[in-house]
Amino acid sequence: MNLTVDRADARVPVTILRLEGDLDASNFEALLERGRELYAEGTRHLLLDMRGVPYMGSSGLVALHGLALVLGGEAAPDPESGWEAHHAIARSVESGMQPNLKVVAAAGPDNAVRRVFQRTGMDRFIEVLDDEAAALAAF
Amino acid sequence: MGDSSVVPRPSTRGSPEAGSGVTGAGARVEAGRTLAIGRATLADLAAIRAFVRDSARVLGVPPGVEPDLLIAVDETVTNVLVHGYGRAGGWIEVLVSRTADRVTIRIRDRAPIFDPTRRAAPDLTLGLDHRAPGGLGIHLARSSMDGMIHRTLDDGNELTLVKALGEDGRGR
Repeated sequence: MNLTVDRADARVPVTILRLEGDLDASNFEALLERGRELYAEGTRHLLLDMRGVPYMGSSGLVALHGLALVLGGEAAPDPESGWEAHHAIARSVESGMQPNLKVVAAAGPDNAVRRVFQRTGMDRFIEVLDDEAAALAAF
Repeated sequence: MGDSSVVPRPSTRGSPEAGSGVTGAGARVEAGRTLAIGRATLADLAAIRAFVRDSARVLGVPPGVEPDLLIAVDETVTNVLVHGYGRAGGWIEVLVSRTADRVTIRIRDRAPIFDPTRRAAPDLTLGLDHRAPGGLGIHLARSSMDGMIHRTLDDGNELTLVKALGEDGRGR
């Protein structure tokens, strides 16, 4: 999976992280680590461009959720702790859509990213849009 | 990916699997394809998905069905590799076959016995931090297929995933 970074100025400064390739259990930690780096560099609003992601599994959701926590100033679960990291997450996502992380994915129900979001309910916590301009305006 | 093989093998699966919830006998048995990896790790996930994708196309599975097959296999194999083998790697075999009315994927491993069909569906209203590890993966696999059957082997597990095809051969 390749990661490239762009910057945009919307209502707030937004970092755009563009993903190319599958996102699965073998590389989700790399995405989370890149997000930590961006946060350390000053990113507080992140747009994930996932239009180049043909496949995403539940591991991708772990990374995206971790990114949302990091961007909110909280510690994401340590990837080295593996799947047990779920139990270490303190922030409740039941409060609704978090404001720091948004996703752009290709439109259509067959899109793999949208499919996973919808089947797990994650689209109630992380907003998924089909247009970059609309996503930037949504921050 | 080392120590792996892809073998075209005639499928003997021609009748509905017990408890699968899928009715109707297959009109014709199609050939299946098998991939076996001696010591699979997470780095092999992409190759396993590619095998499932290629097999689906060779077997004439409608394109719209393919995403569900990929999710189910990837989540199942990931759970085996992470929870079953503890990331140490281990033997995995994936068989893809189809008849006129269904696609069947059989995944075998030599990990400790674990039956994902007995896991309760996760409460999707809870935040991710309240959910048990692996639960999301099982949920995705289960929601992508029409049947999931676990069988305990002498030395491991066999999980059979079934996807029903409609009268027009498309997914239902």
